[in-house]
Amino acid sequence: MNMTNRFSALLACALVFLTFACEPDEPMIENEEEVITAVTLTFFPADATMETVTYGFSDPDGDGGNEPDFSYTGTLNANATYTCQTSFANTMGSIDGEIVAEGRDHQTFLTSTANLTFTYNDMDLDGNALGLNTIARTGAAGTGNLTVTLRHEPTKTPPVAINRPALAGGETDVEVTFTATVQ
Amino acid sequence: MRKCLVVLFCFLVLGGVAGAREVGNTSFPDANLATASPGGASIVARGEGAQRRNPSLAAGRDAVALTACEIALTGRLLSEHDAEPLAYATIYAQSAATGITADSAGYFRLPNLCAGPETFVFTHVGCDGESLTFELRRDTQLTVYLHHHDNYTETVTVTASSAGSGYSRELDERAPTQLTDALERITGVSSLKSGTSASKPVFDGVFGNRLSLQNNGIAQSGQQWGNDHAPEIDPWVAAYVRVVEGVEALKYAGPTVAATVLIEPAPLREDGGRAGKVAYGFQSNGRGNTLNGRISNGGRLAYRLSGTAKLSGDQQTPDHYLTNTGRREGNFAAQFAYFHDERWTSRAYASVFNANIGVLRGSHIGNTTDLAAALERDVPFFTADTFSYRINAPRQFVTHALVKAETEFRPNEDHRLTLRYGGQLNQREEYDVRRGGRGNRPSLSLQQWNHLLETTWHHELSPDRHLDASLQYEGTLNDNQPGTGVFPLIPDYNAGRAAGYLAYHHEKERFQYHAGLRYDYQTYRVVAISRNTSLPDDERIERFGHTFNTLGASFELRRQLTPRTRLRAGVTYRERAPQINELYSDGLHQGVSGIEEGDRTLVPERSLKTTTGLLYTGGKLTLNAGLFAQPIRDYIFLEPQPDFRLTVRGAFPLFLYRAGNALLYGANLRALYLPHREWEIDARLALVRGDNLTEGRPLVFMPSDNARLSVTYLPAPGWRLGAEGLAVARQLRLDAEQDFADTPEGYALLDLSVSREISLPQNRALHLRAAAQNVLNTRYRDYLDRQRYFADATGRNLTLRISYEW
Repeated sequence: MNMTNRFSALLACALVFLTFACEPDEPMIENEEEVITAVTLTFFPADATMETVTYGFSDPDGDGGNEPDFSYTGTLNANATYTCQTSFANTMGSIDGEIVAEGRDHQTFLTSTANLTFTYNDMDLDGNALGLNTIARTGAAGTGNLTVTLRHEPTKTPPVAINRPALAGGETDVEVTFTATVQ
Repeated sequence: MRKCLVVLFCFLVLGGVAGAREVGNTSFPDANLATASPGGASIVARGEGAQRRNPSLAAGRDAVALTACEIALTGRLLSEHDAEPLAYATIYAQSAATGITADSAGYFRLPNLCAGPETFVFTHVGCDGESLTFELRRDTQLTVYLHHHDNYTETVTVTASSAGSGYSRELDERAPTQLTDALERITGVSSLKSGTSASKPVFDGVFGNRLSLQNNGIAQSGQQWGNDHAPEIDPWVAAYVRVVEGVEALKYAGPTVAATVLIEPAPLREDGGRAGKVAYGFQSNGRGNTLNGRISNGGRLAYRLSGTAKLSGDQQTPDHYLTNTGRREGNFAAQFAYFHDERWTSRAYASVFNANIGVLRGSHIGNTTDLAAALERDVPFFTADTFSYRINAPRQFVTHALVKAETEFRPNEDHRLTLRYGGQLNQREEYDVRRGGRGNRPSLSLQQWNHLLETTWHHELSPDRHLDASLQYEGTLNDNQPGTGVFPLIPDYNAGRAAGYLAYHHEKERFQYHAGLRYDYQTYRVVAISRNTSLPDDERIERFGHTFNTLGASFELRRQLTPRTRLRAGVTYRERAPQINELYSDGLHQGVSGIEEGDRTLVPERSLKTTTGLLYTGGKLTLNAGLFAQPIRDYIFLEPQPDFRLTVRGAFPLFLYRAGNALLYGANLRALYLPHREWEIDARLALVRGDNLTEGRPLVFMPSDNARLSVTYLPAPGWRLGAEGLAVARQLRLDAEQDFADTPEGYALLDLSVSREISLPQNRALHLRAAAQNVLNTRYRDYLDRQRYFADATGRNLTLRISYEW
C-alpha cells in the first residue's frame, strides 16, 4: 500500500476510531534467503569399501521457535581418511555458491574433541583457505564433539588455522556442534 | 531538583541600563526592544523613572547614591508564552543579598539598592529562573519574561538557574554534541548509550519506554523500538530541555511511569524583531563539522527557520580509532505563529530530521563466541589504523518528520482553548554486514505514522488558581517495510489511544498545591507472522488485539516554611500499558546476544512514586535536596532463563518478558554557591537504587552513583571560563550473572571551556568558544554504555565554535 493510501486509511480510521484501532494490513512474509537453516557434513571415504557418512543439522524455523534437528547416517571408521564436504543451505536451497563467490570474506573451521583432525583442501581467489572442502583423518575409536564454524569477514592469515577460529575474528554465521563417533 | 534551566527574554530598557553585561537570551537579541505583547498586556519597560519623577532629587544625589544605596528596581514578571502575570515571583539581588516577592499581578519593587554592577535573579514556581547582570545607575524599570510551565519538576529549584546565562545559550553551546549531553546536565539524568551512535536519557532510574520524550509537545514516536535508537531531534532547534513529573507529566501522551522529557523550541512573539544567527562548530574527535543557520522575525506572522548540517567521521578512544562511528545529519525546522488578534493565535511547526549513523564495526557480532572473543580484546576487531569519514554497514538511517499545527483562542482573560494536531512519520532502516551483497538492503526497515489530535482548556479561576483539561486521541500505524529478507523482531501493529486529563492548580504565595488526573484507553491491533514455515503462508498470519485502560493521578504540594526554605512533596500514581516489544518480541536480538520472547498476557504496570524535597535559598548559597521512592507492581522485565536456545549460530541465552515487583529509590542533591559575582560553583550528586523484588536482585541499567562539580569564572564582561569535573562510581549493585562482563571501573573526567562574547554595533554579537571534553584523555568505560563490551569510550575532544548573531 502506498503512502497516500495509508494516509487516507488512517484518516478513515481516525473518524471511526474512538473505540478501536483499525486492523493492520496483511504483512508480507519475508523470504529469509540469507539465513542459514541447514548444515551438512558429508564424509566421502578414501577407501571405497567404507560407507559415506553424513552429519546433518536442520532448523527450518530459524532462531527461536522449535528446537533444531540433528541427523546422522553411517559411522566414521578409525584410522581412516575421508574427504569432507561442508554444505550450507536454507529452505530456498544451497548457499554454498554464495559462499564460494565471496570466498575472500568467508572461512569454515572444523574442530573436534574426538580423534578427528581436518586440513583445508580448497582455497579462495587469494589462495587462502575457504574450508568447504577438507580432508578428515580419524585416529583411534572414541566419541567427542565436532564443531563447524562459518565466519564472515575473518582474518585469514596465520596463526589462524582450521582448528583455531578464535583468532580469526569476524562474525559467526554458523556454529553447530555435532556428536562425532569414530569406531 | 533539577536545574532550573532556562529562561529568557529580559526586556530591559536602555535608559536605565548602562553596560548590560548579560542578557538572558542569545537567540533573540532583539528582545532588548520593548513593545506590546501578543496577549495585550502592556509592557512597561523604561528606565529613568526616578529621574523624571523627581529630577531634583536624582540630580542632587547622584554622588550620594553610590553610598546611600537608594536606587529602586521596579517592574513586572510575565509568562513568556502567554504574557500572563506571574504571581508571587521572587526577585533577588545577589550583591545586596536582598530579595522580594512580587504581588499577585506580578509587579514588584526592590528598593534600597546600591549603584554599581548587580545581578538579579528572577524566579517563579513553575518557571525557569533567569538572572540578569547590569550596571545599576539610577532607578530602573523592567519587564521580565520567564518561561513558565505549570508545575514541573524543575520548579523545585526555583533559583538554581546557572546564574548569568540562560539555558538556551548553554544548550546552544553544547549543540554540536548529542541532545542527551544537554539533558545530562539536569540533576538525576544519565544517558543510556550505544557507544557513539545512540543515547537515551535515564531519569531516576527510568528509561526507554518508561520515560517518554515530548518533542515540541508531541510524544516523540519511534522511541519504543529499542534502547539503541536515539531520539530523532535536532539539538540546535531545542531551546528548552527539561524533565517534568507529577501533575505536569500527566498532560502528555506516551508511555511513562512518572516523568517525561520536554524538548521545545523557543516560542515566537509578535514583538520579536528580525534576528538571525549562523554558527559553526568543529570537534576534534571525529573531525566533526556542524553548521547551523537560523533566522527569525516577529510581527503578525512571526517565523523562525533553522537548518543544520553535520558531518563527522570515526571517533577515537585515547588509543585507537572507533572504526565506522561517523555520522551525517541534515535537519530543517520551520516555525510560524500568526497573531490573528489579541484573543486568537495560531501556530505551526514542521521539522525534518535525517541522519546516517555509523555503528562501531567491531561491535557487530554473530553469537556468544564472538562476544566472548570481543570481551577479551582491548582493541576491537576491524579497527582501522587511519581516520575515515566513510560510513559502512553496520549503520542506521533515520528520517523523522514532524508537523504540528495549533490554534489558541482566548475568549476572555479567564479562558484559553487550544486545538492541536501533531503528525509524525518515522522511518528507520538498519543495515547490517550481510552476505551476498545484501549490505545495501536494510535488515530492519520500519515505518511509523503517528497522529495526535488534542484539545486543551485552560481556565483561570482567580489570579492564583486555575484548571487545565485536555482530551487527546492518538493513532499509530507501525509497519515493517517488506524486502529486508529478515524475519521482523516486532510485528506490524496499529495502536489507538484516547485520553482525558484534568488538573487543578492552586498557587498561593506561601502554599501551592496541584492535583491531576489522567485516563487512557488504549488498543492494539497486531498482525504477527508465525515462524512455523511448514504452514501455508495464509495460515502463518495471526491477528491479535489488546485493550488497556490505564489511570494516572498525582498530587503535589509546596510550602514556604521560612523566607528561605521551601518544602515540596508529591505522590504520583501511574499505570503503563505493556508495549509491543514486551508483548510480541520473538527472536534473536543480536545487539544484546540473547533471544527475547514477549508475553501476550502482560498487564499494565502500576507505579506509585513519592517525592519530597527541600529548597534553601540563602544569600549566596542555594541548596536543593530531593528523595524519591517508586514501587512498581507488575513491573515488566526480561528474565534470563536457565536454558539456552540452540540456533545455527550456537546456543543463545533465552530471556522472557515477565511481570514482577520492583522498587526504585534514590536521592539527589544540588548546591549552587555564588561566593562573588565573578564566581559560580555548582555541585550535584545523584544516587539511584533499583531492586527487582521478585528476583531478589538489583535491576539492570541503574546509573551508578555520580557527582558533578563545575566552577565558572567571569573575569570580565564577555568572558567566561569554566571547569567541570564528573566522577562516576563503579556499579557494584549487580549480580555477576546479570551481565556478560564485570561492570567497568569508576572514572573521573575533566572538561574545560573558555568563551568570549563580543558585542558589535547595531545589536550584533560574535560569540567564540573553545572547550575540551575529557581533557586528560582518560581511558574509561561506562556501565550504561552498551559499547563498553567492545571498546573504551571516546577520548579527548576539542571543540571550537564561532557564532555570529544579528
